[in-house]
Amino acid sequence: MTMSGSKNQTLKSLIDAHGWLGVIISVALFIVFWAGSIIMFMPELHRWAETPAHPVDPAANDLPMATVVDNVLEQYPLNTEEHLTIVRANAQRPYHIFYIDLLGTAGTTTEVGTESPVTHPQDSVAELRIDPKTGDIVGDLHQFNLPDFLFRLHYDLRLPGGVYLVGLVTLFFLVLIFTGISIHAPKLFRHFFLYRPARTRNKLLDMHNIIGVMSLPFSLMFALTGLIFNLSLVFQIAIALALYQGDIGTLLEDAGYPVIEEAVAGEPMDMSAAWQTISDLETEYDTRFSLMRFHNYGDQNGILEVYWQDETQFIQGQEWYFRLSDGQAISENVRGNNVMRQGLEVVAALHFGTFAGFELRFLYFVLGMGVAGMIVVGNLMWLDKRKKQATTGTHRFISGMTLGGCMGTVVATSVIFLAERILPLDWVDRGEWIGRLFATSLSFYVIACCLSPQPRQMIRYGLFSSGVLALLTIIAGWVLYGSTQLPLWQDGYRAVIGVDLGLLAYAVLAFWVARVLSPRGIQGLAQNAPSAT
Amino acid sequence: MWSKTATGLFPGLLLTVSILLNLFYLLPWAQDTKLLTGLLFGFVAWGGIMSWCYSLKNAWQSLRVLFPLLILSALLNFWMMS
Repeated sequence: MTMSGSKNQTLKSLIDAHGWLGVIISVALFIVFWAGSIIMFMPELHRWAETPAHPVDPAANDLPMATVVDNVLEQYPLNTEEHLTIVRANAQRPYHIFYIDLLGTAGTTTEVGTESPVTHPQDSVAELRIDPKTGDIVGDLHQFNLPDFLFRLHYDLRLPGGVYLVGLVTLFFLVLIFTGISIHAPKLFRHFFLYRPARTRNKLLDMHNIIGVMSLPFSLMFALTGLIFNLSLVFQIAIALALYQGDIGTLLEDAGYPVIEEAVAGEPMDMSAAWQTISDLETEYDTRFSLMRFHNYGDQNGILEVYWQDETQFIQGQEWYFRLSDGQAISENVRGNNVMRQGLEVVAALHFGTFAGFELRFLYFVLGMGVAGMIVVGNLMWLDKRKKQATTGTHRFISGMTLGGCMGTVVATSVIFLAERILPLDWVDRGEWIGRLFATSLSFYVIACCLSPQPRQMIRYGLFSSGVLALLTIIAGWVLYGSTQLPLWQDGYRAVIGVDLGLLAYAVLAFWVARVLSPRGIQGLAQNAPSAT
Repeated sequence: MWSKTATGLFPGLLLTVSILLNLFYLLPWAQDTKLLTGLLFGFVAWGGIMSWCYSLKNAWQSLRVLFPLLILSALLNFWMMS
């Protein structure tokens, strides 16, 4: 084979692989990017979902944490040999979050949202939101589940073994980036601004290439950091077996995850003195611990693990361990003294865009949505190419599954936004219904797309219906919580109306794109387009 | 395409892990530095090998290169372990 023949063969193989892989992982990858883009606004979504139903008075003073903890543990008995974890209320989320390892069968308590006492199994954990001003338990952590559901959808698709499935999809995404670069490299700069709207095929290809090139550094960073989160187990197993002879403890120590434990002494500790020690530590370190995890709470051998952000550093996390009896540090910042932990901090900061404020998260959102759009465009190109080869039934099925999966995700997301607003607050398993409604809506849309004689038109219907649902969500919010939304804005909780404005902008954009994609809209575009270059 | 995928995924992973172990034995760095470098290098190498497998005409062509490299790298590991 000649040199140019061999080059052509390589290019053909790469193009085939790029298209084939893209279609196979398109729906899962679309969901990961779609959900990942939305949860860039996770703090805002928490405030939007929770604060209208349970406003917190910002002018009131916080109750002492010791009082709050005593009050909560009276109702939810802690297994002191396990952990009590407290995430402090902050500007992002105005409630304390408590994770309490419950005391097995002895701990009969009233579950939030139910009226009768329940018995907790040995290993159960109570996850509660607490009003820091009154100490009241305002609800179960998962009562307003929309942000957490979207976050889990992003990293495990809410499937068993989903973390590894998403890891595998991310690995294929990395391969798509590598093959995409190899295919497009010779034209990377020459065709940087090329856009040929006259022919549908060229238009889709140019759109795919433009978004791909523009978002390349961002996509590459997301692929690599996502792989480290989801699939590093593969290398950990190999390294643990080959280099550490199965000694996981030493591996964790080297990786910056020391196991710090103390046996229970069996002698009770005066916790009011311990809370004073914690207060003294905060003064000494000139900080406010954002997370406190107690090991052996109430015991003489109690340990306090704390976490706080050092805003002066790029790698912000500080994680220390103290002895509760005398406030002595058992371990200095375990994150800062280990290259692996520091590296993972950088990976997390890059992945979640937490190092440069709201503007950076907005940029991540736009780029993430761009990649989600690129996936749909790539899908359409592959389907166009295969239209003549595939039998009509098969083609319609693949169209339905891929386009239906992507657009179904968009519609299902709008459904759960509306559900978060209108589901009754005292519904048992309210949070679980978010997942059920998402799965039902997505399945319904995929089936509808598979049965539709024109799957492409379902993109338009999906955009239109999700726009309507977004408007209904805004209206429902104002009908149900109209009297609290404006005071919340005045109190500085701007995210409530901010998310509503985002939904309004989305609805307008969805209607506009749906109009452009109508047969009349496409005809108009073709007539107005300049002649092909 | 499935055979190319399987080749890139499994022999590709084996070769990546083996090269990673070579680097662990050869590099004179601290353990935590090597762990982080290994993680970053590992995924890029695995993705690169998979992409290269897809660029060939069939899976057999890639196996003819991957297996000799894997044997060489594994032998180096055994030699350094002993």
